[in-house]
Amino acid sequence: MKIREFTEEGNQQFHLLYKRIKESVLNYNKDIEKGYTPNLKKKMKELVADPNLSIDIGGTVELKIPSSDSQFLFGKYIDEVLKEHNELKIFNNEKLWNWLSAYFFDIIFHKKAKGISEHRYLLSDSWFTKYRHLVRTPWYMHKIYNESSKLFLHGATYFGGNYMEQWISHRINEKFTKAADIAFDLYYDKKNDEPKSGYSHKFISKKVTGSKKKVKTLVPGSLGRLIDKLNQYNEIYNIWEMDRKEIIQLLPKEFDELKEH
Amino acid sequence: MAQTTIEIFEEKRITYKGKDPDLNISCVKEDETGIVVEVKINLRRHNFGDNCDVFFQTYDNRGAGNKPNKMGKIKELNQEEKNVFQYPISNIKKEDAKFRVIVSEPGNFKDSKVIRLIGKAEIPGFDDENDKSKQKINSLLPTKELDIGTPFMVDMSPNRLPYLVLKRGCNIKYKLDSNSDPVQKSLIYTSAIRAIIEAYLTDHRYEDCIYKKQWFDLISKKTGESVDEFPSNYVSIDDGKTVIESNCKNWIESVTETMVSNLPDSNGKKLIDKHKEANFRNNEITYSEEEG
Repeated sequence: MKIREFTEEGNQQFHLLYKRIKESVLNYNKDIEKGYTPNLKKKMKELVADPNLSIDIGGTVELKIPSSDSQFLFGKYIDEVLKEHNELKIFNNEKLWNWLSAYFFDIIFHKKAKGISEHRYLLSDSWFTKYRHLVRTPWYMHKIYNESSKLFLHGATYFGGNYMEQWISHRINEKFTKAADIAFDLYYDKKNDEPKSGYSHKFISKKVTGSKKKVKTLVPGSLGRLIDKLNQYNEIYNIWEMDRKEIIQLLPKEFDELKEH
Repeated sequence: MAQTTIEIFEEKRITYKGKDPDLNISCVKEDETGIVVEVKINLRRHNFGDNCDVFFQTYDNRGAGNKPNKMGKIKELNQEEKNVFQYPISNIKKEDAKFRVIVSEPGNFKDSKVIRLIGKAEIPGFDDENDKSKQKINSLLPTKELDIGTPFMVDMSPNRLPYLVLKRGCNIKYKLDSNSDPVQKSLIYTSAIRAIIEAYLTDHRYEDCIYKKQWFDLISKKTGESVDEFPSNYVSIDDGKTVIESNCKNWIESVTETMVSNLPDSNGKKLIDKHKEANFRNNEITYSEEEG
């Protein structure tokens, strides 16, 4: 099937169907496997294929469901199949992203998913929640950061990871793509092909010894600290013209164990 | 005397307004794809070295900066009295554009090679005094949180900006300022703007209020109606009794509709349509759930 976008009516139908699916899953105590019934699956397939509820956007690529559940590979695939389209026309195109969401629904609304928030499947127009969309965000991350997006898209297609969550809302990272290359160098364990653990959160709650109290504690060398440093460097250096290794060298002691020697 | 600050470099401020500014930035084209910016620059009066590089950078109103455009080296720029550049900036609206001009030179910090900024100007937007249409409702109605009994109220006083006061601890200010809840936004602003206009048309203490004038100019811009044609009284005295003028009441409703319900976002979507969609989507599923 070629890439399509919902009509107004199709988009409304998708919202309604999603609501029914969500209600059904809730009735089964959030068990997606039971709640997303064969009948609802059939309705989703019919909605995707109904020529009266969506229109062809004029591409040449035949879509297929990826065999792997890797979010990174999924983002790479969506980036490839959308390359022939004008980015300005697809960037915030809710009807396109929602149709893609419906097409790939079985791999993003998976029985192992931990949340069923609508923002993951229905594109939100608020920039606070837009990035939670499980088709658009992998596309966006791969389009902007290429191979370095592996750090943020590590995990399965139905999963919103911590590194991504901590990263995407910071404006400096939007166009200063070198920032992602730096983050990838620091936080991605190339040997084990996975993000290093313990650095995605800027703060953690730590127990106070001898008390039940917890205190918010800064994590040295964390992704949030890197973003702080990049914002600071942007005020005193022309980081856009500097090599990423030069920027990494500037980072303070707290990053030493993350730097490659 | 103890020295509490270190002067790293002597820098004359790069100016972008006032008499003979170093920079002049204007928008020469705007369409649905973006804008074209013209920059005139002359940095001769500064003492930057010949090999310093000069860059022009655009930001959007959320702070995301584009890759800076290189304008050239100081020695090249200083050969001309006025250097003129044009830059097409895609996917940005005129009123959302901010700019930065930076002058940098290579150097060292400890063992690291760096490119240090030695001059900089932050320009908050186009200096277009004739274009008041970009003035937003929010700038004439700032929000603040206080311990009040109701969820919101309008706090007004002559010759002072009206405040939209929001009940502390209810998260309403966050929802409004972040523009993340079209339902609360449309309900609260409909009521607030109605109240402001009613007060301006009723209370004689606002006759010469400078903010009343600013509000009415903004309404005129939005509705296309001349201020002279606005109704002058919301209430009148009829046979010794106070009467609400129905024409004025209808006018207030239509202004509120234009200013709030029909308020378009950056994609041209009206607030009332977003309100409808939000209500439609969130009909009955109201529970918190864990994101994974």
